[in-house]
Amino acid sequence: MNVALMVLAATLVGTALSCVISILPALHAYNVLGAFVMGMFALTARGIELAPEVYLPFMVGMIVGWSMLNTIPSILLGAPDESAMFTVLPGQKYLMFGRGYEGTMITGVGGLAGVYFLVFVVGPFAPKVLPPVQEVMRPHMHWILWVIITFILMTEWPKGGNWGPAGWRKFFDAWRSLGAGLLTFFLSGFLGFILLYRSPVSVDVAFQNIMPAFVGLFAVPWCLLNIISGTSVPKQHISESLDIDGDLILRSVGAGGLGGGFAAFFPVVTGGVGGLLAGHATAQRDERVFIMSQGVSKLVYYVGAFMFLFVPGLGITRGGAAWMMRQLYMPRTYYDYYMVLASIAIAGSVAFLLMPPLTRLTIWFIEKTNYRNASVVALAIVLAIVYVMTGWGGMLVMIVATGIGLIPVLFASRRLNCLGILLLPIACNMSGFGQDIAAWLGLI
Amino acid sequence: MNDTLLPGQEDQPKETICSSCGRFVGALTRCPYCGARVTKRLSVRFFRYAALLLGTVGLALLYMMARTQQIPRIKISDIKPTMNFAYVQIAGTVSGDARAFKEAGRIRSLRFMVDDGTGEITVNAYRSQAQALADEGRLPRLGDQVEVAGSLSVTADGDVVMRLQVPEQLVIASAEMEITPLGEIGADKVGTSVVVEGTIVDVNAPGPTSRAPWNMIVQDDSGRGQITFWKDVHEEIPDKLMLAKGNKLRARVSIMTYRDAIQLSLANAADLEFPDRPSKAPVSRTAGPGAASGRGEEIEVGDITAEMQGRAVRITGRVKEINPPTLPKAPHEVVVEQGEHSIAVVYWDTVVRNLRENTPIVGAQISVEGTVGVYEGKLQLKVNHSRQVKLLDAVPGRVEEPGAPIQVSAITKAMLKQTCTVRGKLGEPRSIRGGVIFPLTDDSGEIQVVLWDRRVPGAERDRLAAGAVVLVSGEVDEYRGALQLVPAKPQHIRVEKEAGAK
Repeated sequence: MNVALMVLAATLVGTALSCVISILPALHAYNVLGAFVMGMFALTARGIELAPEVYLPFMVGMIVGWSMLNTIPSILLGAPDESAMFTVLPGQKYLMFGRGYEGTMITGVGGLAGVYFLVFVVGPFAPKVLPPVQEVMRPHMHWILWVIITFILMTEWPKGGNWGPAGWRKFFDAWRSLGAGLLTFFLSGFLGFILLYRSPVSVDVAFQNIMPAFVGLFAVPWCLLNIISGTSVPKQHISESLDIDGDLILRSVGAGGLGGGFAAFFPVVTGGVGGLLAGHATAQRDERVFIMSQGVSKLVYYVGAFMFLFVPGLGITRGGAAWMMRQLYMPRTYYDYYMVLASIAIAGSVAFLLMPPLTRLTIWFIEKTNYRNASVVALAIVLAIVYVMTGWGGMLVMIVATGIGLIPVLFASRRLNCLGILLLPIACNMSGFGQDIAAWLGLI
Repeated sequence: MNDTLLPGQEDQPKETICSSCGRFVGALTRCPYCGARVTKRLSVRFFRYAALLLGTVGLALLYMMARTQQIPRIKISDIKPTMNFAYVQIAGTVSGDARAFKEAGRIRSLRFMVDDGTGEITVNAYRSQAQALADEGRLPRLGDQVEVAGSLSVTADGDVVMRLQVPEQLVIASAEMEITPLGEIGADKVGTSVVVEGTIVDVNAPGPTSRAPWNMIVQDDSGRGQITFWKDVHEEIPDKLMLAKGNKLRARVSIMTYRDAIQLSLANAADLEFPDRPSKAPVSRTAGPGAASGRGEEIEVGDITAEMQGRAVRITGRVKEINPPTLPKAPHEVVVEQGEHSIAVVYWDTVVRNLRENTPIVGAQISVEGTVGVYEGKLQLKVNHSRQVKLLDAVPGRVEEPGAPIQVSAITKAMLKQTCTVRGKLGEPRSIRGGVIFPLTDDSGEIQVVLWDRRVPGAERDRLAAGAVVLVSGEVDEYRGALQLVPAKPQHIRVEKEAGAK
């Protein structure tokens, strides 16, 4: 079979599969990719080896498709992933005004702009520009990470304490959400230390050590709250036009590309953090820019992080998908790079074209049935994935992480604080004292 | 109708709407617009504190569990790509001197190889860990027995690296080593480590811009040898003036070949001493494979106490019982009794595989050298190397025997995943990623024998050459329609006739 056709077919299959994953709330592409990688190892053990031209475009299709189409449940059903948290509030407003379709499509346009940004701006210049940038930045990564952590913690704002007489009661009211945010950050950081050095997950599947914790921190709390909450969605209007123009798109690409690109390039920083930094850096006040830039940021983060593994001469591994990829294949040449760029462009195009019908389908679903059923199904699927891939050890981690993940949701602080699970131990390690802390904790 | 209401808001539960101003407040308990307290259903409040309790108590329990969890001990051949990031422990022999990489006078990283009999792995230590090991003079040397724990990095290239996180998790067990006469060092000792002593007869320093190493010719009563070392090692030698003709030296060196000539490689300045001007720390004459043991003090079993934990001792007694492992990664246990007292001796599969004629038998007199430990409140003696166990009663050897050989043509697809043995002549080897393939031919046909690096390390494969007649046991496998035989360990390949032998 012609290699180009093989790449095209694999990309389309990956993108098509991402449709199913994306519209199921709380299901993350990385969970499914983890299962896919384990399947690949099982095949290799049986002497069956797939060509990189099959699984590589397939994975690209999955990541691009999920990054774009996951907007649908983010806006219409809630926020399954921390990187989507900033789309929730304005997105929910669109939903409550019956404009969920338009909100979704505006974010989708952001995703499409993100694909353009990666293929036409980052793609041609990355092999020349990024390696020297990485060389310059490498010795400074640790302190930049601490600055980011400080920024995340200090930009949390009090949700109470504005009313009533001065005193302890008012003080505690103001500090309740702030305290919950700090508690979440440090508890999840502590969990990160445990998982890094003494995970209860079997060493045979150690590459999925962190997965049950992420499911517990982000997916399960969202499912549980959706199941028990009493909110119902008003009738949605299917709009034939979008209230955006070229200027808004350019501003969104600027803000989202900066945030997503920063997150993709820096270790441990995720799309949500990148979005937060870019949001403050560019100070875009228009709600449409806000929503669209989050679409750009999310796509640039997930897809860019994966793409950077393939940039010749760069040699960095960022994001869960790239780490999983490293165990299957180590890219080295422009052949791989062009293949990935081609797959990104094709998958981006197909995913955007699939967006309107899938959004209509989801709207039809939430209008016709009780959409909490989707949360029940999603919860069952993520529990099954965690159990099958990581066993009871993983389930234990997931339960503990769920407790921590519920704190910001129930105390109205940022879910972003849950990223302490990665930020704290990795920042300590990069600064050279992570092992000392682990030894002091008795973990090593 | 209130004009601040959103479409569909009238359908929302009253808990999400401020009772004072009528605005949508979601999960907030105080209205952000007017400050009125919003009453919530009990369930949300309950879940709020239940979540807090679950998160903190669960984390505390997880922490206690993690602290008491043993680091899993694995075999190198068992490492799979899915074990990337796993924190594990391995035990084996150092198969290459530790190499330190420096930057601005500080050690940036340290690297050495460990072979556990099932495969070989690179162990890296970085910055503070590497510096600590160097400062403590605990750089592993060729032939040292080590136990090391760290996190694994496995890539698609087949590169498996362990990263040492804490210097204390590298335990080096070694024994005294005899001085080897220079005249006895030949090709058979390549790849081992020895201590030599002699007089310097010539010193060749590299030029100021040269990247060549230092060379010294050393002589003793039995012959001569060439000791080489790099500039960074030279910089570390405190008594540089002693590097002159006529001075006597003692050094621990690794035996290597360079352009078919034997070379004695000095990896660390600490391994060199001048007996005429004794240095503070004498050269550590630690054991290479096959060296005589005897570092542990002889002691009565009844005198061993928990306070002696970590000390090396040697005991002699009679084997009372032998308990095979009850769990996949548990050790083998042999109970040794001496009079009224007894102690459990524990060791893992790597030791068992190399015990051969020293394999314990119930009732036999045995000498064991090991480190005192306490596990679940019970005293035990931990053995890391097969040479630490010596069966004193004469018993017939029990070597693993392969099954009866069959013809190559008798192997069919129906036998996939079964183990079978064939005898045949090896053809020219072909390198593949992660191993080597030898074609094996007998009168009936040919089959590919796949030797993976992790199962049959390079050092073991060196004894195999095209033309040799071998007896091979392995699992039948299929790759792209062709059948192949995959031996699980080096012992499954027995050379019956060397290549070129008549």
